[in-house]
Amino acid sequence: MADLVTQEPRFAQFKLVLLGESAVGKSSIVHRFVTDSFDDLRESTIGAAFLTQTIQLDERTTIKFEIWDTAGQERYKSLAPMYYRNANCALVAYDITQESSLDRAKSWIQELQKQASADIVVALVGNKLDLEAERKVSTKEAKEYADELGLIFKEISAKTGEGIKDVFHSIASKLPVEEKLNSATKRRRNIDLNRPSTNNQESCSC
Amino acid sequence: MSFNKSFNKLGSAKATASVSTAKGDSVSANPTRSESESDRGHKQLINILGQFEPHHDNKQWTSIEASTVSDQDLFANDDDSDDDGDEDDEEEEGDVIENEKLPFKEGPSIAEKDEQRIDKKPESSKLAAEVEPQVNVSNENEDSSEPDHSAIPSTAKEGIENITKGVDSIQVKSENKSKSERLTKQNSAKKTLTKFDFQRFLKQLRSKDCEPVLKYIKSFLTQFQARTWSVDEQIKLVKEFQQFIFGKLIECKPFDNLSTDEDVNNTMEGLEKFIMSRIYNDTFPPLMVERKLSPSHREDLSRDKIYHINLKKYRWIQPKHLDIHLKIDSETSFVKLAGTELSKVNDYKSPRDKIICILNCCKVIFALIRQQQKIHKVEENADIFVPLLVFVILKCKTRNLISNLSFIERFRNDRFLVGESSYYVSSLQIAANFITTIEQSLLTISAEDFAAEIENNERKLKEESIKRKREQKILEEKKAQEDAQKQGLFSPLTEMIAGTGKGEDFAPSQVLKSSAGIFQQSLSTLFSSPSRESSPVSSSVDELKTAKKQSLEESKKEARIKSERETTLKNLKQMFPDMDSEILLDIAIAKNSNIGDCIDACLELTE
Repeated sequence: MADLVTQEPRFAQFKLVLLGESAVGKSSIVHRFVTDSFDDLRESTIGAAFLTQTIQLDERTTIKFEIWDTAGQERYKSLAPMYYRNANCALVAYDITQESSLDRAKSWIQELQKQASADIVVALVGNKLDLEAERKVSTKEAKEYADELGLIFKEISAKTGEGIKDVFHSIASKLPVEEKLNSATKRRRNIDLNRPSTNNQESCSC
Repeated sequence: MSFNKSFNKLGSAKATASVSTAKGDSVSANPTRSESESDRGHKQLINILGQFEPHHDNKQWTSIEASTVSDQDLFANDDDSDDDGDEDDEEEEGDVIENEKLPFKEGPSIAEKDEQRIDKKPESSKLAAEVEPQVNVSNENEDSSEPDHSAIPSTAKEGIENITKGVDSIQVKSENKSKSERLTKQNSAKKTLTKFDFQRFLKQLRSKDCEPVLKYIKSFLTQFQARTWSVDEQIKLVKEFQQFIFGKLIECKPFDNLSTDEDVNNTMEGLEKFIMSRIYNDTFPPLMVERKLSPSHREDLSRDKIYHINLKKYRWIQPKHLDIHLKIDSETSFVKLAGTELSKVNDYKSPRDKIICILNCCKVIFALIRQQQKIHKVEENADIFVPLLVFVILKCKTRNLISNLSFIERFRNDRFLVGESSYYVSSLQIAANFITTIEQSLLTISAEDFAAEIENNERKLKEESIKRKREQKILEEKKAQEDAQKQGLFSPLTEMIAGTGKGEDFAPSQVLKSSAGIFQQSLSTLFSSPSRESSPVSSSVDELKTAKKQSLEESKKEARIKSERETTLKNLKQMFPDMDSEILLDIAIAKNSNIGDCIDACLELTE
């Protein structure tokens, strides 16, 4: 059974955390991605704060994103590390028409670098590209910042859908897919109850 | 296998502490805990050990070699083997394990029995009649033809209705079924919650081939319970033992033929629930005996304390202080319902069941968001969900929430704590931690107003405390008076007994005998259906009694259905003030007063 799975289409799952102020439209970005994509499958059963979406990386490899929306309000900031435990990637959004939202995005990124796992793939995205006329944050400024830290950078519009697929594809292509597939296969073969985990410590507080 | 070592180590620890000492300790429970809790702890411990039969020999529990112990004992609480109709017994077993039996008792007689039990019980234990929290979670792997029991469960009775149908209800919402099927086949191990049939697992585990495995488990449980472990040791032992025993189990029939992921998952889920339910009193800090508490366990308890102190201190918090701009308050039905669902975590022992309670709570919150979307412009996302979750847990005051979360995190199989479950458990951790760290800067309120609220609340708390003390005093006085009266009532009898020989009619032996006779009679009516052997007179008396009892039950049942419907209707009217009340009534009837189903139906209608 398990063997069949590995020879047939391959499937890897990754956790993506979504960070950004409430007003930057981070939920719209994900909604656009989830509803607009190639595959109309939505697997959310409780509510839209947790969504999943799959994309086809190549002919036989499907990637599934587990998208963890986070509360953007400042008051939950100190608790956010609980969200990015075991996250493989993060999408940090700002609003190109709001200067302050980039600063806030930068502070999320700093937090990620401190608290999240070292190999986390981070994408900085500037939303509301459809409001070019009201732009306050220059592409150059944000891109330079992203390049410096080795982040994926894109300007997008959740409203028109521009650039959204690209962002998720860029993230997917930087993810350690092979590694994940190998460990998943191993796990299946051994029917391993205890995959080495970092989250079973007693630290439910932080 | 690393567990072999620790298992041997465990064995060499020579667990001499017998079951009875454990029982004794649990009786002299932690003084900081409420009496009811320690009571419950005691009962649960008895349950776990299957100690209802007085003739049962405790010593035989302590070693693997003790082959004379019937394996049935291990199952004593999971199935219907002790179906002796002893009602006291049932009353004591107000816990989940025992109730696992419910889904498979399908006959109406059983349903009746359950209902009786509910009627007898106080509100708090009614919930225990639910077998498992019902799964509201949709699951695309499920046959869509199944009746929709999804949505929000409300009361224990609905639970029974659903449960007697034997459904671990999970439903399909995916529109694109073929695609979803394809995907779940590829990845079925990683679903939010797979379908789980505990009774199937138990039935399998009972096969003759599994006897050696059961002995292992028994030995593990005894030794686990006999010693004091740190949290890390507990996690290691439990997880490694589960893995170890899973390895052993799949060598035995019928587990040697687990062909699908679903079978594998069912077995793993079954093992987790089987084991965790039995060591619950040694792993869930609020129920642990004082001497077994390790520093981390104590930390859970002290964090629970802080949590509850803050619940009191900040009980004045309103939605606006959390930037929730919706028209809700603590009396909003959705808020109450979400809280009720969450508070059920204390009624279940297995990590999976506890998680289901959390998911149900979250689902109600999203129903609230969707309902509010009709009035306000709100997006359905974490920015609104987390503040609402904070508000809900602030208002519902769930006991031991921190301990419950720690328990889940420690003992839920990592294989299953993924995806959506993991997300909502994390969200709850964030909300709970937020409450333990609340300060003025974390709320939308001016320093002045904050100080005023705190002061005002402190004054009220003091007043309430004084009032409570006064009431308690009155109650105590009343009780003392009653006791005195009772003694007065009995005194003639005592005098009579004391004055032996003075009057033949009241000779002590006779008094005792006749009262014993009455006792016997009542016992026989309790235990047996009208017996053929009994005299015609007594049998007709018995029949009369039975008939009376039955009609009483029927009328009770009717009254219950009616009151249920009224409650549901009241809730619905609050939630959907714009809807015609006759339509609401129809919905309530059609959905058997299941508030969850009703809400779904109403939402559909209003959309």
